[in-house]
Amino acid sequence: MAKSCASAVLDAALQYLEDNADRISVCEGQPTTYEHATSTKGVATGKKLAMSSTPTFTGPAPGDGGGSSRKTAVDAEPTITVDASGNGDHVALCKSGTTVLLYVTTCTLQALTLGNTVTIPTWDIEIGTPT
Amino acid sequence: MDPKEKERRLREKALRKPLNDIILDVQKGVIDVKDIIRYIDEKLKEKANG
Repeated sequence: MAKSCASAVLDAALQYLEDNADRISVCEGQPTTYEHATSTKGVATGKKLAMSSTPTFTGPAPGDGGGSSRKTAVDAEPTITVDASGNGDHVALCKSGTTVLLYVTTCTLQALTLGNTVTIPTWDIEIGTPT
Repeated sequence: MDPKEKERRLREKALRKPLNDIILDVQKGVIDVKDIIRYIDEKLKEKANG
């Protein structure tokens, strides 16, 4: 028996991210709460090393996985000022108004230095076709 | 996203200046649609249980 999911269903999830994410942050360690992702490392439980309030997206569009998979590109986020030195290994998208942690992914560990800048290149979020 | 808000954010990004800039290597996030369905199931159960 085959499974299927209409693109509109997957697009709705991706569109939710696009419409609601208004913070993108680089974290040291996995953020599991809004506070982790948005409070600077060293302040309470903060894990954030750098954060921008200008995330933008391009999509949704057909995914790379074929079938009904869909993806959205998180546009490049250039030269964000680093607020605390540390090892960035996660990137998080959040909604500030209702303080929700929306999405977390990993990145290759990079040492960041307070006062310098960090660039998050464009990356994709993809929802695969049902299997 | 509202196109005007996207334009505003893109303009703001363009104004930033690099300083010893580090470029991250971000891993693509792939979600299995089953995870979404499982998540909805959990939320419905939570709601049903008050």
